[in-house]
Amino acid sequence: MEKKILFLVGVLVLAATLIVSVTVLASNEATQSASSAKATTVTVVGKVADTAIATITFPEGAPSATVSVPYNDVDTSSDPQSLDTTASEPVVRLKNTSAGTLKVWLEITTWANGVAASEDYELVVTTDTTVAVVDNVLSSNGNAASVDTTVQIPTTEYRALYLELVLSSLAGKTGTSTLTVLGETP
Amino acid sequence: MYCKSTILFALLLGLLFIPGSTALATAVDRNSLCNLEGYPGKTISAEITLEGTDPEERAGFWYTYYKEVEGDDDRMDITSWITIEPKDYTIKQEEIKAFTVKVKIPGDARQGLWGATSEEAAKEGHSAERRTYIVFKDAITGGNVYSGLLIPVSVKVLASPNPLAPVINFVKQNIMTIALSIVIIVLLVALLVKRRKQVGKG
Repeated sequence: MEKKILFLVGVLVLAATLIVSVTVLASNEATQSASSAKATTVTVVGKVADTAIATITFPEGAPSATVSVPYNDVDTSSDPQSLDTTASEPVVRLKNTSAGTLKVWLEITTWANGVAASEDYELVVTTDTTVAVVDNVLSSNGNAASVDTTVQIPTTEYRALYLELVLSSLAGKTGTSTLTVLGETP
Repeated sequence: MYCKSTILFALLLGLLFIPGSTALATAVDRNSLCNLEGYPGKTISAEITLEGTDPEERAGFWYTYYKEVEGDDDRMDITSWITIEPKDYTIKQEEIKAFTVKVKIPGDARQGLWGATSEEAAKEGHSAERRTYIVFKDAITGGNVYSGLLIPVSVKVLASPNPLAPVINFVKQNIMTIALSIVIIVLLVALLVKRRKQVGKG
């Protein structure tokens, strides 16, 4: 009787060992490898050169005037934005250096000293040189605003950004605002 | 003729060594922080890194953003749950900086998804389902033109955990081994008892 029990115990120990072994074997994993590129912000570059710009400046205008000839610090005031039905030129270009398509958001902070009454934008493909009117609202009152343009830029491609500012009725004022170009995975 | 060909060849060769003027901005290693899981009252931590790729130093900061959509309920804006440390940064080319995103789930948060309308929000083509974001943006130091990225955040608030859950999981995963071990122990105990009885009789 004792021998039978010992035999049974032996068999069960063997079975348990096999189960554990199978479990260990089953937990082995095959190695797979994959990698994804980092997401990169949309770069704001000059009209021609792929140089990141730091500032956009709207030249002085009369109170309540519309200023449509802003320029960036790379192309300078000698080569400002130009609105035309056949040969328009943007103030800056947006370049998508990320690995995938990005949807563009535009944000501005409130214009200091109440210098602006409103600001508008156009965001088009760079081959479109027929921009004579800039009328998509970025800020309707010169205050901080955030706009989902719904414009998508495929990877490595560019879009042309046009800006237009309507000055407030205040005279002799200078103000600043920051423009932000945000990308989002569509 | 030979001289002209040599000069032309040298010029073409020289073009190969002119560095491309590719302006870049700042890269991030995660483009979403969706479906984070946590319990009410707990804090979820996630690390996110930025890499400078612009030849010029850039200065920027992190903030949270809620994309308000008409008809949203109180689950969509979780910006008050989120902190990012450090908030401000400067970054140079090839520099990598790490940031910690902490999401503190309120103790009274109800179970379910917060910060997005669907668990698919992180996927491409689902931007309309995102509501809460963390955003980083930076500009060339002294500049007034920033660029950045919107990174959606959503949290799956779980029901309070069962303290016995780890034990139950262990038993489920090792049920056969445990059953056999119990049988072996019972048999050995029976054998031991029988031996003792025999020794007692002897």
